[in-house]
Amino acid sequence: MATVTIGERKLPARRPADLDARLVVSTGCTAAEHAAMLRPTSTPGQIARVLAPMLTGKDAPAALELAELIEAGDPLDVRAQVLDLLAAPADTEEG
Amino acid sequence: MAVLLGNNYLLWVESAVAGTFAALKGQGSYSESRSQPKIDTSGKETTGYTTGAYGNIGYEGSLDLRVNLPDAAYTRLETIANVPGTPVNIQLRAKGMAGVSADAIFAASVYPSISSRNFNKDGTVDVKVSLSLAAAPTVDTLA
Repeated sequence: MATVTIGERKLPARRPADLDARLVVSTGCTAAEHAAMLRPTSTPGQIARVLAPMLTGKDAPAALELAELIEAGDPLDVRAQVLDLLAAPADTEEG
Repeated sequence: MAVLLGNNYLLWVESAVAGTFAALKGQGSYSESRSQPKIDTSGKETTGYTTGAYGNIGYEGSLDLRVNLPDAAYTRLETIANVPGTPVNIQLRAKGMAGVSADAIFAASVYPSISSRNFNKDGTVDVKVSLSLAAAPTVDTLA
């Protein structure tokens, strides 16, 4: 199980096998498209929308709180972690 | 043939599945603004008349939308518009909701922009989407 570190918080995360389907429902775009669209200038909200469906913890923050966390942390660092997750092989375990 | 009716033409956006398009919900008017700069080809020897040719075709599309969610096509368009410089394929198709790719009278890769959003008192949420060409259109034939 991977973790995404935002400031002091470590959030459990994984790349679910159905990530494309989840992202298409919430954003209309696939994981590969998001990987291309996540730029150094991406906003915390844009990063949060991609990261949210990959968080697994029961206390995972909702999208707005997640965006605020990213903004208060280091958006560029979180973006890099999200890109790593998007590039990782799918985790087929239930989570 | 008959007089063409604007209501029969809808804008379709390519989905996350390449080659598959979906019509946006709540479409109002779609307007095209076209321009071509004039190139003066005359000289002093052209005996009193200015001659000219036209240069490259400038194009901007503008669509009025009455947003009606859920709409996967709008969600996708908005996501892409929020990342400047990201293109998306669109088609303007005849035959309304029954239109297929072969009915496209205009098809192109475009950069979308949400150019206005109006949250009207006693009204709907209306959005204007502007489209600028990312590449020359692959279809541009009304007749």
